[in-house]
Amino acid sequence: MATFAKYNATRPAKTGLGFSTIIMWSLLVSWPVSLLFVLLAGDDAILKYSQRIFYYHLPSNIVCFIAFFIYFVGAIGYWRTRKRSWDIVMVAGLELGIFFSVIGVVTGSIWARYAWGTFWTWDPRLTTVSIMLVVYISGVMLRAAIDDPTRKAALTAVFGIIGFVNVPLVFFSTRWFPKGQHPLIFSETSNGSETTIGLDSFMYVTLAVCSVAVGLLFTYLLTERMRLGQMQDEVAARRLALEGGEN
Amino acid sequence: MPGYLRKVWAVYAKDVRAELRTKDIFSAMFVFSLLTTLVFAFALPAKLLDPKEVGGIAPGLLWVAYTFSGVLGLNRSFIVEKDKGSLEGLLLAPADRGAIYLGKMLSNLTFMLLVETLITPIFGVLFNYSTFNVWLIPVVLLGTLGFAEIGTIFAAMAINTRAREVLLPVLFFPIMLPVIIAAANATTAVLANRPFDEVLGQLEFMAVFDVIFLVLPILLFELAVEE
Repeated sequence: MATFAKYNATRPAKTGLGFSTIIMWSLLVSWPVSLLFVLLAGDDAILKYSQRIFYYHLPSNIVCFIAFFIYFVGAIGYWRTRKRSWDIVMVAGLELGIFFSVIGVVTGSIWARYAWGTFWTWDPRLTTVSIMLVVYISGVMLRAAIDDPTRKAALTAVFGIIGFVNVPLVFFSTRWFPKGQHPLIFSETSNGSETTIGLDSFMYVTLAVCSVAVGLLFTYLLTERMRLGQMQDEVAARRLALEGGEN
Repeated sequence: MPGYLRKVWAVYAKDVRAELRTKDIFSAMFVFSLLTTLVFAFALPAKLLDPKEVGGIAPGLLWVAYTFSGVLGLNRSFIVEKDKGSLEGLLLAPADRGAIYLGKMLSNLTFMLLVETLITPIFGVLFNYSTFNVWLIPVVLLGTLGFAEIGTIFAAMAINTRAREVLLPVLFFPIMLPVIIAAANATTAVLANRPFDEVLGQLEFMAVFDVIFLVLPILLFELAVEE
């Protein structure tokens, strides 16, 4: 198994300040700090307390798009090179994208319950995110149904490219959605986007701090997921070598 | 590229010839879409099927019937190849994988359009709903082309997994949602005789979708069927 040879080299045990250690400690610092900022930020004029969830909602959604973009880049990389390492990038992007878009959808729904009076409405943005989520969940199901690692990587790549190209098309298609199908209770505007909340300067600082915290969490999970992927490959390679030895 | 087109034609002609002999795919698709239509007719309350109300739901139901029968046909088209071992033969043929994809896609498109042509008037009769309008033709053509394009490459992928035919709808429906949205809206607008401008935007959208997902699978099909 030449493809696994790359991960066969025993890495030295991590001591001192590795990349993931630094990220982990910055996480431990940045999350309490971000929470402090969120609590200190002023109340929104109309939405009062419920608006605070937005500081985690927006970064999660941005990060989920970044994650799906990483999956797309990995898919292009695998398509062009057929290198196993791209599969690790793809699966990390796919799983984290789903994780953060679920966070985005859940926080958004909770917020919408207070702001609009309903957990869910078929607003173009919500529809796009929900369809995107379903698309990528079916990508996970595709992976789960394949045993052969090479085929798994190949089909994940095909699906990643088609799925990513589909996202802007989904957003575009939602502009024919019948408006006002569900009762929307907007306080001042009715264009259905969460950016209608005005932010003061401290709120922007809070948003920036929270974005850093969420970004760090994403970076940490991404590096760890990719390390896990490499370890899985290594285990598979060693198991194969052992089985080969017994025969 | 006459050589390329000849290979596309060869794959297409093979599929059509096999279908003319067995009538496997066509009969399954047709009967299934008929049954779907009947289930809709029984499952929905009679007041929704009132001629005044039916225009709101019938186009959506029509497209659900199209997609369900389409998935059935797409699955069959590759299961037959796989079980008889002819998929390997097809892939061994000295032809570009893109040409093989195009041939399979066109044959799937043909079968789907044929079933749709038959089921649409029957649907209209059962639902007391006039489905006769010339402008329905481009809507159905563009929507079905999108189905066939994405469906063919996904069917080729699904056939090589453990779940086989179960996986195709799971992969296929989410990706097809933009086309289903546009096609159902366009059908509603056409059959309600609304101004043509409303339909045009959706036709353009489906055309853009069809072009993108014609080019991408041709490039990616090799990766999708690689051993």
